[in-house]
Amino acid sequence: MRRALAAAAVLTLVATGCGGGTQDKQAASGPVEITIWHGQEDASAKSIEKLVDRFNQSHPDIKVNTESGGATADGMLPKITAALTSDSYPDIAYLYGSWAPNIARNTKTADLTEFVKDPAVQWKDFWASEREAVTVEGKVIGFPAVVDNMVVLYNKKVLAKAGLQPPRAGWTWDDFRAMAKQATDAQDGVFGTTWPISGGEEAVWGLWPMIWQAGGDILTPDHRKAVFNSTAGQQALGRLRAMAVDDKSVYLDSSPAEKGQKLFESGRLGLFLSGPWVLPDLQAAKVDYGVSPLPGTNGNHETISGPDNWVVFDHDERRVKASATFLAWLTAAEQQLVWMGDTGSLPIRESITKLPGYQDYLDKYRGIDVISANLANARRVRPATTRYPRVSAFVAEAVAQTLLGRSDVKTALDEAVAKSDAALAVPGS
Amino acid sequence: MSSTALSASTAAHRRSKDRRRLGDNIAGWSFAGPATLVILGFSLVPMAWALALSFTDSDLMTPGRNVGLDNYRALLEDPVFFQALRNTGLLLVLYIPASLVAGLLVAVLLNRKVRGIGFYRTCFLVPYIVSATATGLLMGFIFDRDFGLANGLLAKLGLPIQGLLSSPSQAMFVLTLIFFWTRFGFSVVIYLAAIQEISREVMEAASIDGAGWWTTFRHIIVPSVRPMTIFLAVWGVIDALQFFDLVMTTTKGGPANATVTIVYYVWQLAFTYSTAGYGAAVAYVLFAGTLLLIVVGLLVARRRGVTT
Repeated sequence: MRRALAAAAVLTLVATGCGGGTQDKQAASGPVEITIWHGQEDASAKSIEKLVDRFNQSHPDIKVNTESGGATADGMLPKITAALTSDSYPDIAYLYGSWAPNIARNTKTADLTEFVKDPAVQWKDFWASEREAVTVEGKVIGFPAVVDNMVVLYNKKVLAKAGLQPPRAGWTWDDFRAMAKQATDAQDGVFGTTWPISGGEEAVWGLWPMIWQAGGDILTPDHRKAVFNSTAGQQALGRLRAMAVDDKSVYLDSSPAEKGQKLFESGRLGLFLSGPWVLPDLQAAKVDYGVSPLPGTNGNHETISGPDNWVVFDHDERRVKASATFLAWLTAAEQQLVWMGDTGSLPIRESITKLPGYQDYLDKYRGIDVISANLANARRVRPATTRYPRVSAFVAEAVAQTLLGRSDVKTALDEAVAKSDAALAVPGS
Repeated sequence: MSSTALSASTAAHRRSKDRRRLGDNIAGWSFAGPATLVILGFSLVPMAWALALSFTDSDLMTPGRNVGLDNYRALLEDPVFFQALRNTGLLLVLYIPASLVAGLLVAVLLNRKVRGIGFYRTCFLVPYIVSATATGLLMGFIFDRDFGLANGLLAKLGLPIQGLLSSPSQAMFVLTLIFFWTRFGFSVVIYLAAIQEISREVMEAASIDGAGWWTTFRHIIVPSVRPMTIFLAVWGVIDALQFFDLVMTTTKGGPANATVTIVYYVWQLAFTYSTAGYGAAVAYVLFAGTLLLIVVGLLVARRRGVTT
């Protein structure tokens, strides 16, 4: 019986999975049906489904169907690529901001530029870096979904054991290095901090705010040349190299499995560069943590953020309009406060911070106030070019070579720039 | 008159024969048809599509322009491609002999009647069954440089700590070891089945003739299981050349591309770097290389008078 049930469930999944995108032939009358691939799990999935139910009840002319998309947020790009190729795509999908340039090239991606000019949408209420991440060459392809930014999490017990005070306001990268060194206890298996050296973006994105703070950049504004081997770049990677090779205060994480977070939870790391998404886990693990903005360079505490988007795909005009209406509702301050309370996400609109319920949310997630305030330090996003992932891979290689002490900083960065320039020079996209 | 009647009857006979053959054909195809469609739809069509893709600069988002052989030319100057070739080659060269030798030896050891033999046999197959994600996570912890069991053991024995998965020069060897651990249970099972097929008379005759363990192994077991050895070698080559899942779950190709394999590189090219056309070209080079290796291998085996 149980097996029969499971088989039936699988069949239903297959049927809905196939049917999700193929409802092109809808009756002209009756509610407009749209499908959303939200890519969320656990508490986040429940929250979004709850909100969709509310929307369906209050908007009889539109019916939103939720599906996970059969993929988590990480795996959504390959999934949506396949769906677009086979014409079975949803109306809305949850996609990382760094994928926007790729997605925008597809002719089935909707253009909401006119829609967001409607004053009721309050487009300017979204943070600037979010609006930038969902706009590709002047074309708005969806709505901001989630925003985050990088902060330093510190384990109060580990710092206290090393005789250290929590980071003071206005701390510098030199302070960061000194604290990491003092918190390291090789005998006990405690490291000052961690840095990923696997081949992915996680090895790279923490480097950019250091470079930005010192006045450097990743690429030239026209995205034709890589410039991260500037003095600012060499200083940033040089500081990391000194920490990893000379001080031996950095746990070099070669796994893609977020081992760093587990080590931080179990009291083996003093300082941890991360973001708001780990707070629910830290609370569950009962870690005595604190949150601080990134260390600064000459008083500049610029951070990096990775906004995620709800991207809309075009089936016909009615469905695009229905999708935009739904997203305008979903991203409105009132609904967002519900979502934030359920998931610990940051406010995506400035006006949310002025709602009466905002204080409850701050009380629920310890340290979220610091991360929320830190949004003002997120001034830039990574370059919006389809070549960025390739450039990032070259930098990841340079970071690994340097931190393992196999290459000096200048050689590694110069090589990465030469490879990036070659990749950027290829015509197309 | 009679000749025309004769030819008419032959024609009628042939027609009925044709009709019967047609009936047979319809019956045959109605059985084979669905499977053929599946093979066409899920193997041959995608293969043809990938070949077409390899002559374009498609990113799967847009149709892409025709670039002729440019993708294949670019390959020749791509250092990461050559690194992937070297890494995969290393895996192949180490894994194939190791899995054959160890597989046969363990199979011989497991081919005896002792209490609980079923349990021992199961033990060797379990790593083959466990999912690559679970194995990857587990091994990631065992071979961690700072917190792993492997280095903990070395330290206990007073030996120097190794870089393991954090070291560009050791990571591929560690991955090969993990790959070996997950796959060689399959060789054991195949060899065990083959050894049990060897007729008892031959074994008894050998022992009556005074053959010792080594002589029996060398002159009876090894030649008897040779077809299986060829099968396992071919299978192992395909398996090793398509190595992907453990790379994904242990190192993501790092540190510094030390564990990028060909298939992992294809995946990166197509889905993270949005150069699906180029990725398809790499996939086709892999396909041609695999085909060549296997054809040459089988020809050599056939010349030695062995058929599978």
